Amino acid sequence: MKKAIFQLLIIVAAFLLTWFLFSKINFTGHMDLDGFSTAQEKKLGELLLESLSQSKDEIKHDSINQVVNNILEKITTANKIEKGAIRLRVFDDQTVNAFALPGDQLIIFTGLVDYCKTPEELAGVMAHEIAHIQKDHVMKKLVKEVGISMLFVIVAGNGSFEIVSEVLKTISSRAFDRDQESEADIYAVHLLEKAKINPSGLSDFLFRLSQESDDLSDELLIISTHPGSADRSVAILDEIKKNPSKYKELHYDFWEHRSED
Amino acid sequence: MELNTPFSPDDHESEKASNSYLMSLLAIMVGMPLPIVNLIATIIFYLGNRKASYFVRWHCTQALLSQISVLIANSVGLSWTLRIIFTELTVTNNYIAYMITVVIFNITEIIATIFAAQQVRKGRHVKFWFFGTVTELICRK
Repeated sequence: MKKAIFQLLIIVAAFLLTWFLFSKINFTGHMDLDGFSTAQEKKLGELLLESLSQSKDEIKHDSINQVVNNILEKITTANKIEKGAIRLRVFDDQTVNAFALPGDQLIIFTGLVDYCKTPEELAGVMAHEIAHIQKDHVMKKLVKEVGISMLFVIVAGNGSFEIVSEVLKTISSRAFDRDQESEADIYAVHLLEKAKINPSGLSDFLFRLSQESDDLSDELLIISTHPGSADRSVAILDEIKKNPSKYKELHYDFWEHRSED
Repeated sequence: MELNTPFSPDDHESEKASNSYLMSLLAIMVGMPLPIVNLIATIIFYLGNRKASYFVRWHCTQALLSQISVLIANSVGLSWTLRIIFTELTVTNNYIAYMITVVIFNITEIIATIFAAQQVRKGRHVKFWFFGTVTELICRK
């Protein structure tokens, strides 16, 4: 009997060791990004963040930080996303916008928080951007629109301030392609469902955007990065109907005080 | 794998015992996309030979047991693949590494099974690592 158990352990160990050794090979990392490593992506993200910091003030100790950090924690914890894997930063800008930067960074402008009528709307937009990060859409978009060669030049420190600013503009003001936006919407619904946050907030937000799409003021920059909002709002509601769940309503003083005003 | 000849099976017995491996080999091929198929096929063959001679039963049992490890590994691979297709799970390094490992183990199993079928057909006793040991524990004369 002991001999059989010993031999079984050897077989299981051989299987696990083979699996472990193969898992060390980066099969997926080089698929689409032509050898752009995680470290280079992180460096690119830092350069873009530096460029953003030069033109806008970062907010670090405000009630807005507490709100967005709390929502992020709810989403990441429920979805088993490693703590600190997504770095969230808030900038003081009345533009209604949120976007993801390379290196798993999520940028939120105060204008977006002000524009959201409920915390669920804000959570919806944040989950949508987290989905872009998780699905690696950010680097794919940059490779497609800026070109891998230019990204290598920037990371090597040879890109001028203007070039880095232009790349930042690309990532913050241009939409992902339609399929990626839809994929991020559906994935965001799943992220929110697991966090027990009502995903209809994202649908409400996009529907409201579609109603205001005639307003082409600079402050509603998010319209240009979220096209086809009405159709997407309907698609999100269809996805929600597939899995009826009970949600916990989000309460933050930020919105309570606003409704009192 | 051990090769010795403690038995002296007749030609009919050798053929039947060898067929248990061929059956499991065929079942592995058919059952790769749906792993349970190979186990069911081997169980049917095993039950059909319950009253056969010790040599035949011994090899039917070893062929059956050797299916179980592949069945477990393949089932996990199949369920992982289906979850990638139908849920939000994505293809990861761990998934690709697992599938390569499963393929390697399946190939090893196929080679060992073909070898066992050949040797047993010649009347030689083949004892697999682990599965042979367990077979000795559970298969009574």
